[in-house]
Amino acid sequence: MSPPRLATRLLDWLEGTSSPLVGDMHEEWQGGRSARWFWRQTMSVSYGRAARYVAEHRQLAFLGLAAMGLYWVGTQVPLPGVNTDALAPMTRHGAPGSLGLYDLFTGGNLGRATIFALGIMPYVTALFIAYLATELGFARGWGARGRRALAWSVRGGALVLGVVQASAIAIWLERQTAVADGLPLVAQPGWGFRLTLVLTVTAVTACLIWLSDEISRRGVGWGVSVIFFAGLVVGLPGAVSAILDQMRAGYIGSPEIAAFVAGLLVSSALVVLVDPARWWCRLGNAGSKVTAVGLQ
Amino acid sequence: MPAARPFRERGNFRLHHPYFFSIVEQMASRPYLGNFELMVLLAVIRLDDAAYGVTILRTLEAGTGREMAIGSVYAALERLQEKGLVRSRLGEPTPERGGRAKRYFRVTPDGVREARSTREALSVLWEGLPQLEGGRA
Repeated sequence: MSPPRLATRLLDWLEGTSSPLVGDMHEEWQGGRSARWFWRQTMSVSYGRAARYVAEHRQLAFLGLAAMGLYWVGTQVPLPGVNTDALAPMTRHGAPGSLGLYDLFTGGNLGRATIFALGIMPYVTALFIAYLATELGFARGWGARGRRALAWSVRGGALVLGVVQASAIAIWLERQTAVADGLPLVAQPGWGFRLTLVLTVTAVTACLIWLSDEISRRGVGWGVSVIFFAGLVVGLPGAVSAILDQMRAGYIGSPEIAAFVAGLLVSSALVVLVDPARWWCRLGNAGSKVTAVGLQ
Repeated sequence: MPAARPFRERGNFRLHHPYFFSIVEQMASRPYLGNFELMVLLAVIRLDDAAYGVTILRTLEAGTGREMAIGSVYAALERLQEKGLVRSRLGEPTPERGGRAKRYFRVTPDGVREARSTREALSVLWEGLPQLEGGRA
């Protein structure tokens, strides 16, 4: 008789298929221990493994919480010179062509016109451009010095993108002045406002780039993803309440929500399936060599 | 230009968080043995060549009269190994263990020394305590 299958699979996943600890549990099972005993031991091993994981990743947890705290503080600070009361009806009440949906994807940061209107996005964009460029053969064969230079150009590129996007936001905000329920969006339009806004938003982006690089440098994960995830977690309640508001107002119906949730589930499932996928193939003219071709 | 004084002397010393974490780590790996670690070390010494997960678990359960978690036994063994008090080797895989090998543990000279010094310290602390005499609570 074999021990509880589910418990064994859990143990194999936690400890590995050749773990002496699991072997000891099998031996005790053969010696007459009960299924209850086996499950108690399995739970104890799972608890120990979870406790060890938390202890080993304390620094990641600390920096993750710090990033979330920083993000939350940033989302409470409005952009200088912008009348957020006038902006809110444009992004919430959603007339045709409104910004309600876009606001939803910024976790409400656009609607509240916070200093996190751009966040880490310019850096993500610059990193993607650099990634695509290297995939296409750019910087192939560059040494350590070249890679460092590339990393600095990505940071510089991100700041340039930040300036361009922040300028676009400033100009857009100025142009909306006349249509926002008659309320002026920007109290004093002009170069003073544009410059202040661009400097503020770009400085925030620069701080986030520094923070993400610090997180990466300390080896506690990929900084950009930690900050991006922190932003998602902090923005989640705002995004959910924005969806609920739009449902109540009748701009989004159940079919749209169902399609949205289905889309999320399908894309998550695809990521989980494709990410660890490997396509093993034997090359005919390569002798006995077996080559792995990655899909990711 | 005068040489910069150490940061600590300037009166605004703050613990940089990596140091804080390393201090916490050092506290966790304290030199003295915990109660459970001592019990596991004694079981390893008692079992000599035959010390592996199952026999250590049975020895501890027989000694304490309580069911023990095998995960806790392995965690204690890993801590003892990190402190250099035991060492381990893998045996051959067997069918009754689902094809998994035994991991045998053996005490090191440092482990024997540590067990001896702990016993001496405990003996000194144990002596002359009337509350612990005669089996009364």
